[in-house]
Amino acid sequence: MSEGLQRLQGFLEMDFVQNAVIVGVLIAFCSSLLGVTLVLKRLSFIGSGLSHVSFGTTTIVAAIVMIIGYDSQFDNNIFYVLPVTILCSVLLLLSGPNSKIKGDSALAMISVGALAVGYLFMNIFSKSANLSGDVCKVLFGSTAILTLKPETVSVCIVLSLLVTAVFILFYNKIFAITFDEDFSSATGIKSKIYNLLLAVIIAVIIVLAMNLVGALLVSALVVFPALTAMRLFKSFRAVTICSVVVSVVCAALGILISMLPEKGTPIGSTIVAVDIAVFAVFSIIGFVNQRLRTL
Amino acid sequence: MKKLALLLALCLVLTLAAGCEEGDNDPRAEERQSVSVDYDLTSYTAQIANATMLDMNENPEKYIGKTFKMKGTFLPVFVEEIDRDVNYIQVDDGCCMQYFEFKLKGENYPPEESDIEFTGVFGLYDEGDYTELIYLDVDNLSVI
Repeated sequence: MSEGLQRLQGFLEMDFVQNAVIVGVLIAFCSSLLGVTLVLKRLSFIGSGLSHVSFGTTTIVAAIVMIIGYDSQFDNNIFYVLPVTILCSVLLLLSGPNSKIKGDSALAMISVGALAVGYLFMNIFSKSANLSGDVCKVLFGSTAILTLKPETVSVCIVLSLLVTAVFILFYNKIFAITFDEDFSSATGIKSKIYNLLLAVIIAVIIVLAMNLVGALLVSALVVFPALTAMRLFKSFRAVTICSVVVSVVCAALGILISMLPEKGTPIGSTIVAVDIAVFAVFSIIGFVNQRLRTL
Repeated sequence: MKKLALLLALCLVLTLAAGCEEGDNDPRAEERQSVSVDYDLTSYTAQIANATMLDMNENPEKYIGKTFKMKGTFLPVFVEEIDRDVNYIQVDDGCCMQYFEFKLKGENYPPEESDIEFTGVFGLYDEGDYTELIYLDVDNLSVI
């Protein structure tokens, strides 16, 4: 254990590990802010759908670039993945009740379609000798957060701060459309515009979160902190604050714990495992607290 | 509320107690400390080793003069453009293969595909039309 801690101390002196911790904590902070809204609006799986779209976009664009003749890796380039993901998010969340393909069906179609096409393109166009390793890296986020380019780090930080600012500025409106969209519209709140804003923010968070936990585990990062907070707290504000604290602590712990064992563990999976453990602890505490109240 | 606070405090104490254990005196740790190595890739986790080696390729200027300890497979490759063998160590970091050129003092290279371990100093050199080529300056290596 002490050897692991010594090793961890050495790792924390490396600048790419420091960047990983900073960016990871910021991403966890932002995803937990919107997680409460997504859980209450029963949109928990939108994270998965949009992350699969991001995965598909990454591979298709990388393949096109390779065909043109420019040597490119299958990495999550935020500059071309973000606009496509935002577009899909807007189409999914703003499709009305009269659309031919309903919300959950459209989400399922886009989600599995993007995943399948993405993997197909990787198999056809990848020049890598370790294709399954590349796929695992993108889907489960084992090293993506440690290999961020400096411009990606800057973009992640700026986007995280923007998302936080938007959430704080429009907190009351987001609260209103989360609990009763029809009533909000009736009272004069422009629900459609705020839903559009929400769709854009969700897309931004999903693209950022893919760097931390990979495409398949994004939903966990968004959903678990909110559900954990709901075990103990009832008000929207308390749940949001608790969700943020839980998410940040779990992300930081997950990143650090993944570096402790000699062989190391995948960062994304470790963060989600810590989320699950904290959810279990909060569930027990919530259950015990409830029983003590009734005594 | 007080009961909840007590429960949380109990959980915290239990968690802290689980983390306590006596330190072990590992003689290998003392041995490692006696050799001055800036980056011992043989002791890193797969993720950190992979990230370090990628960073060495992307930002080589940060690592000039730093000492690396590496373990891998010796692979000499004949490069037509410069008309000589380039001696690589192939490092399997658990994720991907990485290749680094190294120059051994005395040029007493082992047989091809030998498993080797060495400590070398990171540097850059120019040759022909190629500039800022990465290599490791190695005094001696051991065949595992």
